Amino acid sequence: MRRLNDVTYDVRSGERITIEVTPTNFGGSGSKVQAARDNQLFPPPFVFAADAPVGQSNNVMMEFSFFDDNPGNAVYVVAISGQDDVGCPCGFRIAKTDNVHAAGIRFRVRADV
Amino acid sequence: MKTSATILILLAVILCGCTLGMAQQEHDCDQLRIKVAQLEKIDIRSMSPSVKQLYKESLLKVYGQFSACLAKDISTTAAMQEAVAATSAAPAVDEKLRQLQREKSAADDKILVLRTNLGQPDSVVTAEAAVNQPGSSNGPANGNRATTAEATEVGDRAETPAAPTVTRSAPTAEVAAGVAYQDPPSVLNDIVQNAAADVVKNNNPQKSLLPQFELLIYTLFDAASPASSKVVRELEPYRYLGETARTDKQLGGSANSNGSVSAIEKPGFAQLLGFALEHGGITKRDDGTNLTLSTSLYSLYAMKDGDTAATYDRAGVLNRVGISASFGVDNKIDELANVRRNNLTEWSVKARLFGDRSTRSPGFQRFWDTEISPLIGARLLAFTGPLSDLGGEIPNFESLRDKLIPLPDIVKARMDQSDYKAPATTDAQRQKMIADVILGHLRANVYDPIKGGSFKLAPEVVTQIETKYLPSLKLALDNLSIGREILKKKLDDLKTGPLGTFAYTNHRIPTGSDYSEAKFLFEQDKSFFRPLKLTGNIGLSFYNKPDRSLKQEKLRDIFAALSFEGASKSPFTEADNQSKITYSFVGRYERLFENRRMVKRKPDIGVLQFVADIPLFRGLSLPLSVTYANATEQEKKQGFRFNFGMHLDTDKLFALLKTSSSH
Repeated sequence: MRRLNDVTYDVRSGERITIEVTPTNFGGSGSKVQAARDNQLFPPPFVFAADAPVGQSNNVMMEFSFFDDNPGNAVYVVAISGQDDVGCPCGFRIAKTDNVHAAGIRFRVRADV
Repeated sequence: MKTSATILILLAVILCGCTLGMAQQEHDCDQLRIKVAQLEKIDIRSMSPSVKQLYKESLLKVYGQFSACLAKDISTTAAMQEAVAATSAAPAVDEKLRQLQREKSAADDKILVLRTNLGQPDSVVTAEAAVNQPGSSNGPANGNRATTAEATEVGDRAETPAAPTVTRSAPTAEVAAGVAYQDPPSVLNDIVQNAAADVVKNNNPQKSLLPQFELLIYTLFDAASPASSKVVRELEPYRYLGETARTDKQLGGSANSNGSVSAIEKPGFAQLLGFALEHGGITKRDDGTNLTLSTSLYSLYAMKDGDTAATYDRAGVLNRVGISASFGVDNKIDELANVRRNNLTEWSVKARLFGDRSTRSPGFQRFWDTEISPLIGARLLAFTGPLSDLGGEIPNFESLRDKLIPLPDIVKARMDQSDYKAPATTDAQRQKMIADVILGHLRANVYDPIKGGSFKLAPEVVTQIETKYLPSLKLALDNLSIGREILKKKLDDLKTGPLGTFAYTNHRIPTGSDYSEAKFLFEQDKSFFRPLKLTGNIGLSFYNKPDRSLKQEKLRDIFAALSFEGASKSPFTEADNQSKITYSFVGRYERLFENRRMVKRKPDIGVLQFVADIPLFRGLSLPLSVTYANATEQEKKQGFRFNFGMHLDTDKLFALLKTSSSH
């Protein structure tokens, strides 16, 4: 996997991709992540093999929910990994104090990765 | 480096660059690579504006030549790759090709950044274009372009984005410089504003692309046809489900501590975990008379491995126990100087016995999974589905998407400009600058090509957008609106379930005998008395070392208290502030055994109290109480007592400021 930016990666066809989400600083309060991949819901664990045709993309969109009783410093730490990663550690963080609580992650399937 | 020396080096590099430009046929990318590195090393901080401008233009030219040279090398190496396929020479050639592709991609990114900084008017930016039009491309900034009109200066060398070192595969999409996106759909504008606010707040340009699917889909739907544009412009901005408003919290000392205005203690415990963690393991509350420090065993436990779901599950009973200590405040300047043994007035331990009002409770988690998750999933599918379908149906759709890849670099270039970095610039102004860049990029690279016909959508694709994708998205958003109401009701119910807590408090009396208190705290909202919330305390206290001369026995007193609490809307708060006026009627009975044998004292003490907390604005509130007692513990004298004060909730203040800024 090769990083292009926080939410765009080049991957090989069939490459196994893992998206690990770690809710951090939630104390006794709840955390919820919902995801979809292409035309289907994507339940945890967020692991898949890149199956889009070469030249197209696998599209993963995730929404990270926060609740009133979450501490102000609650944050989801998202780590993305594949095989022979270049430009990583890869991923991003979504904090309760952020305004955008969803992310679209694009995996371009390419022959030259 | 002195300015004169800098200019000499710059001129030397430029001359070399020109020579190389003329000798481009020689096709020596290695020399160009060295020239690029030399230029990048020059410290531009001490340059005068005119030299800095020359520097930027020169750097752009050299990068342009370098990119063109790399393109030729890539072409040659690709041919070589075909020739050596399946031979032992293939791996080395493959590796070289990948390296060249990475280099070219990085060079093209740098070109894009430089052109954005220079505010160059050309609409299409490619390495080849930069090479082919070196003279014309360095003209003055085009004042018509809203997003780059202010791009007149590159920041200091130390702060300019280095040529990206991450790998990027060829071919790089041609990216057009931004143009103003007048009147974007409100649903698009909303997500752009939110992303821009996150860029500013986190000082992180990558945040601009987090909602890349929404950015692309909303812009695509706006451009696809008049019918799809109309529908997308009618969509309401999406609000994430989950957060509503802050609820009650009581982190102060026990009801008996000096300075406390309430004669009853709430069993509220769940938030203690969160607040303790939020404040580095220990929360602090100063009511002017007492400084109370609170923590939980869980927050201390979580300090080692961090507060994650796994840590919470491992903690077991520790996540049910909270501890606090109150100190008398005699040093108003240095608050923490009061934290010493002599000032300790009480310490306590609370343990949650039953009831769970947290969103981590199994009941709430089940509700979320069955009722809310499918609704959120439908919205997510309304983005990922079309992207997946269109990627297969439109041959160059992925190229269109590629145009979003350099957006963080373009945003970073905007953040490096002097007007963005100026201390006088407010965050709201910065947010607008970034939002303009994002919208301008979407307009130039997605909307205009589709609308202008250079990126063609087949009629059947437009029909699919109008009849399948947009209706699905609208339905998902409509269902989420219904889900929001269901969730609100569920969260209200969650806050009103029964809650039982055991509390042990040790009171330190400097001029008397220390004593301990054990009590059971109960709260029930969904009771017979609804809408009033019922809270009850029952317990006893005992002396650690009874003083016989003061008629004290081991058992000090027994007591019970009952409170009915209500809430109503506050007319004093801002629109975003959902804090309510809370009021409660409290009755408390105490039998203090030592008073039986003392004159001028009453053993049976009754208290009636009215307590209110009136939120005003910006986290400021006015707590007050009126208390009637038939006696006090010290004297047989009935009467009224009034208490009032001002309280600033910094957590609430922060939440309100955040809401205001996001609007």
